[in-house]
Amino acid sequence: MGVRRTALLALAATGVLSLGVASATAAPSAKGAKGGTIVVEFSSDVDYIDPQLSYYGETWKLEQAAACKLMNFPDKEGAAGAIATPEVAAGLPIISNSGKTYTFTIKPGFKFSNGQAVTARSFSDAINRLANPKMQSQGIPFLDVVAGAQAVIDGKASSVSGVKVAGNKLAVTLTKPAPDFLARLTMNFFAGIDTKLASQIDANGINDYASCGPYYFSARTPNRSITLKRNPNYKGSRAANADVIQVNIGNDVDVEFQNTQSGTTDYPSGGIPPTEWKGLVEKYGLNKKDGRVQVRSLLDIRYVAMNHQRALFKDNPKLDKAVNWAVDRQAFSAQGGYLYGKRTGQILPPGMLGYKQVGIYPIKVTSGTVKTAKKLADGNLRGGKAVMWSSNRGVAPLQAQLIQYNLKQMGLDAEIKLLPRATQFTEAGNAKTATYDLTIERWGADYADPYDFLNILLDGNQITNSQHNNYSYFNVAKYNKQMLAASLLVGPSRGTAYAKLDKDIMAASPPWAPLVNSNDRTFLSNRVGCVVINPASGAAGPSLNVLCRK
Amino acid sequence: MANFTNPHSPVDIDDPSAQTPILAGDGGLSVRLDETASDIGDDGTQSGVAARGYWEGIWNRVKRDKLALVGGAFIIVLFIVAFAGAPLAAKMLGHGPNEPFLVSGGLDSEGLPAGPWTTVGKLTESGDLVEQKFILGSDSTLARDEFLRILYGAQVSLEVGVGATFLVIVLGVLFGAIAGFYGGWSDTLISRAIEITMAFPYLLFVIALSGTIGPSLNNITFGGVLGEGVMTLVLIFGLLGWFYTARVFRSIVLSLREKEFVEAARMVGASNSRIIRSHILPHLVGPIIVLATLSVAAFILAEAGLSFLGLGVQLPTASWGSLLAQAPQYYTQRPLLMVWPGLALIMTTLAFNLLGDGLRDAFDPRASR
Repeated sequence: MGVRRTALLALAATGVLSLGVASATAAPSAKGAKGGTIVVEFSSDVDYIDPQLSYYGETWKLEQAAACKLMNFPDKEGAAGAIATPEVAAGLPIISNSGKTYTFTIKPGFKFSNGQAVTARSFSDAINRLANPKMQSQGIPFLDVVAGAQAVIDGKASSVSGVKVAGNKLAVTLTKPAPDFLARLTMNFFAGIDTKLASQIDANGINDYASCGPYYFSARTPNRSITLKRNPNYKGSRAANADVIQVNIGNDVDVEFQNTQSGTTDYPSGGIPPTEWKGLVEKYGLNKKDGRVQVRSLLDIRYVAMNHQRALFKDNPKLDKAVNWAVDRQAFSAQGGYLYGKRTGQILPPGMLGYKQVGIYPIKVTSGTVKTAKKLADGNLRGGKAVMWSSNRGVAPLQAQLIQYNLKQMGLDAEIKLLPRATQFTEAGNAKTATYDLTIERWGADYADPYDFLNILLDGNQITNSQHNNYSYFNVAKYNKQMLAASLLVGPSRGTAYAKLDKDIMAASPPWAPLVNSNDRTFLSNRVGCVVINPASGAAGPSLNVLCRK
Repeated sequence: MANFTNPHSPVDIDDPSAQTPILAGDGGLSVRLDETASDIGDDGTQSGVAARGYWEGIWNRVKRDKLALVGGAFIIVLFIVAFAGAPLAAKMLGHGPNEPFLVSGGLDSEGLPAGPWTTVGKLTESGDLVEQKFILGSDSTLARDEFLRILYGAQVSLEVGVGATFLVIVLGVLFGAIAGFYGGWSDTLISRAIEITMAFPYLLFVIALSGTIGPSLNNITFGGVLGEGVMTLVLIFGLLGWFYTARVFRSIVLSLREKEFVEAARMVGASNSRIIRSHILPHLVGPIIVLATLSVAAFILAEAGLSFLGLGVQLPTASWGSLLAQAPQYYTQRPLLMVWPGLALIMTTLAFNLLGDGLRDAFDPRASR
């Protein structure tokens, strides 16, 4: 049918079909022994486990195992896993109204862990809850194209008028065509929720709720542990191999590594000492079928965001550029160890639609680059003092000290403030609490489209008084307009427009100093198999619902 | 008998009229029987019995405690090394403790911190590579000089230890003396304040304060003399740690208040402040010295603990605690990175504890029997 072909084209236009990021290696075994407990370790606590609130890579690993969505990425490697396919939706939506109305038919048979059936209302409730201003969700920017959402966000309406439920059909009307809309629906913000969670509006998040995916959250003790158990009512096609996924929180990376070596932990999600990677690859090999060491490239970027709402960097493009000349990307990457990632000096990562390598800033520091940085900074330091935020875990403190040293060489004296990761980005996303001049950040693609990088991270219209992701508080009207225009394009012209934006912004007034496009490195215990890694899902690491005990 | 307990009128050993045949080990005085002590003159009088001064007696007792002497010597050497040796070493080596050497030699071919006695290259502004030495190798993948960071870490430890101890002693003596001497409502108030402060979970409070008010105090460096964050720790430790010393001094002052010399001073019209200043405080010198040495050790350990947790001195200022915090990442390849700061910490706290124990024995009249 023509309109479903349009949906396919929409998926293609966002680059999802062309996603080469999750390069396929040996074919994994997705079916494995059922039962047992998979033990995962996080170095620090998550932000929330509430689906409409959590926006942290670690939590999304868990939610990917617990959520059911209209559209989802299959638990497959490579290109097969990079295509958003209908999960609870019976098929691709019917797109009508000049590409502005998406009508889904809900597949029967899905149930929440409490026995309640998954219906069209489960997804309309998710959208309404996401839009509720009392939730203060960071997912609100992804509703910008949904008709009636803004009225709810502004507190002028109680439900999103563009979302309609009729029996087993859900119709979502947009204000304008959005080629990446289907990809957006793969995000956990749009996961189906039961009627009880729909009525619980709490910006602190709900920890006890029913899920409709292969697993559900059975317990959470903040800063200590999270437990997921198999959903007894799940009848979908996704694997649910282990009985329990037990997440322990708080150990340092060296302890996580020891635990994985000894077999008491199966997956150290918080990471391992970076100096261990080379030895592990030599010992266990790389990317073998169900192998212990797996590395995939990611649509990801680590960067230093300069806060343009504070005096130091406000309307100070020369200082922005000076930072880009000063930072030692090679040394920053070296802190992360073997196969950490690829150095970069631009916004979009390789593999993303619109990526085109432009060598504006050096990826290696020499005496010449330091001189250039000093020259640019000279006269623009405005007191020469700054506050820089960084995560307090893993190699982040070392990387922060490196950046501090680089900045000192150009004359800027930065004081480092170390924060738990979840606290760092939560406070950075709120204009009142963003009391930093620079923050070392990381962003992984929610889905493979440049909108998720440029618009979400740099469009000034995304800056709100609650949670947002524009940590550089970059707000230039000219670029806001260009980003909006680019988001409406389809196909190669979309890529061209975003490539131009990337280059122009970085050349004229860089809001960031991009550093590295990281790899997803996974080290597993010898107790587990059925390893499937699909970065397209927005969650790095192995698909926890597929991981099985040997 | 009054001479025993009045240290500021020690027996003048050169004054024969002041000599008394008092047995050794009693109070602060003892008799030294020198060559002339047993001389009996032609007229039958004894001559040449020399009595020791109060401080001399203490010093003699300390001298007999070899461990205390070793501890004391170590501390003196540590101060010299930390405050004179560290800058001198930095000058001789040609680099500071916070300079990364990532360009050449600071990391080995595996990307690991360079081992001991490694030659590293420093990139000059003109682009030349100048060779320099890392005596103990690199501290981390940031490739900074571990040896210099240990030395500068000693500065931080001593600054925090001594600074916090000074504050704790000053506040403890002040409040303890007032509470013990005056009694009444002042004693009640201060004793209740001590009890309330003691009831707080000390470590949690220190951590909470470090995280909240710490950042605003971190920039107090007195013109770069102190490391960033040192003053924060000194104030937090001092303001939360005075209660123990106050209790000790309160009980000492309570007993001293009833002594005859205090009564005598009152009888001749001395004011309370004069009595405290001239008669009470001198008796507190001994306990102050003992408590101070033991407190320094405790605060050095506390600072290391906070730095280990990331709440101590500001990065990149070297601290033994922060060196210990980052060392476990390399425990399989560079185990010595845990050993150096750990050893420094152990030896320093041991030295202060040994000295403190020795001084306590020396000041305690009963210990020499």
